Amino acid sequence: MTTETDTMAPDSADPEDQAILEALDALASGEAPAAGSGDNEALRRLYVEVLGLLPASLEPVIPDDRVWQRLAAQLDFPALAQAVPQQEPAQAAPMAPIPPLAAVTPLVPPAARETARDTSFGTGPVVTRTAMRRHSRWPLALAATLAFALAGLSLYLLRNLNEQSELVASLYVKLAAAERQTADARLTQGKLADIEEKYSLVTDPGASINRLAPAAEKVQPEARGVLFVASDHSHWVLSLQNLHPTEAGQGYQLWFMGEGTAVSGGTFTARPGEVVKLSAESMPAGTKAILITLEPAAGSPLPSGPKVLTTVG
Amino acid sequence: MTPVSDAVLMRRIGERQPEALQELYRRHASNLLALGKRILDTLEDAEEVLQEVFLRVWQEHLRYDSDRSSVSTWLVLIMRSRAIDRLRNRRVVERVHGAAYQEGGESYTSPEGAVNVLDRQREGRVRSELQELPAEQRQALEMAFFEGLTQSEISERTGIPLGTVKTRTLLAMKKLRKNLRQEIRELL
Repeated sequence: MTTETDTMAPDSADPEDQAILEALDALASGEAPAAGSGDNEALRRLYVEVLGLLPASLEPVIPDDRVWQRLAAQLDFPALAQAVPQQEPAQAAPMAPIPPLAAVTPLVPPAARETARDTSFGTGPVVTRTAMRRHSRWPLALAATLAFALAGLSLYLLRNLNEQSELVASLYVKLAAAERQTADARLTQGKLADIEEKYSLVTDPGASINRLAPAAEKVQPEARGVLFVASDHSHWVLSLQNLHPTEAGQGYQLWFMGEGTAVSGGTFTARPGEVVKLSAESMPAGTKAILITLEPAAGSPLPSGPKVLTTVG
Repeated sequence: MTPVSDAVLMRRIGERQPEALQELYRRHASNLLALGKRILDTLEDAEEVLQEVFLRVWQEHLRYDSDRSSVSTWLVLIMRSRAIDRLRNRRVVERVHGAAYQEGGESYTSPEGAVNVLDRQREGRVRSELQELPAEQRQALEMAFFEGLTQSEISERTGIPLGTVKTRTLLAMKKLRKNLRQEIRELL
């Protein structure tokens, strides 16, 4: 297949042109070019984003609800299949009218030019042709010099402005990357703190470890679980394995069982092969056992569905 | 409350949170579907491609690299690529059967209330900047982007010399980049 760069000017020495060519590669490959493979990375990134903006020029088209429902079914998201993402209501912003091209205005109005002609040549002392040339040339030469100087200065300033603009663009890209890295670091830090907390709980010599096994009904004989309860008898971590994936409209419900009482700990779902991990910093007082039942997705006030797992001993 | 960024949604998708995919879909589906419909001309095909795109996002989320592009641009590139692949396949099928493609006859008008105001403003700016481009530059860019043509193919189709097509595309890209600075920054 011919790529865009095959047909674009590959010998272009302009780094900006190169950046555009590399960005256009994204059109042939369907992916943005790899980062770090060139000097003008920031520029190339900006041009990739230009391409990404082009569809914004089209009138949005709301997908049929069934598109999401099919996708949710395909991905086995029963709980989300009915919850079709609703687009935010739009308040149509008025389109800015496209201004017509400005008519080219002469630098000097015709009437003024007439006047200028009249005052130059109409009155005053008679001068010879040579003298007139001498008189009329030096201001012209001065004007031309000034015009050249101004043009040169403008070019210099324009070039300088472009360089500054490139620098700002490149800094923006770097800033965005740094912000992403900071966000990643914070996320990792949060996860690490969470892991440390769980680790300290499960390695706490005073922590109790309770096994969860299939309840008498053996609804799911392969299901297993472990409950860690900290020495403060409040903070706990529960790990569950081999739970069957929940079907549409169903969910697992956690129960803290006391003397003739059952307090709901909430509902959760399971996906194939997933190890479900639940934890909290408190446990209802008087909890003697843990029970997992299969209930309607919204949960039940009391355990009413099939009992899947319960603490042993 | 500050809405969660697309990049955060991608991380959550990586953590297998279906709600993040749902939110990403809510934000981008209407623009992506517009792109698919522009390329494929039929809503039904475009919706199928849209579904494929989000399936891929869920299954191949690790392919997203934030250093290469913003999430929205990544989605656009996947959508465009898939839609053009389908268009090419359809052309092959049409040639095999020797029959011209007939549109299903559906008519569609975009309902009001599709996107939020900020997105609207961005769309307005991009549309306006595209319209500001000289017609020949806009044509070169649109043929490359929406029709999936290479520069050579554009040259053949329009009868314009290849060098001229390239120059027009480069000029169009430069102008857009310059005039859409703010919109690009919002994506970074």
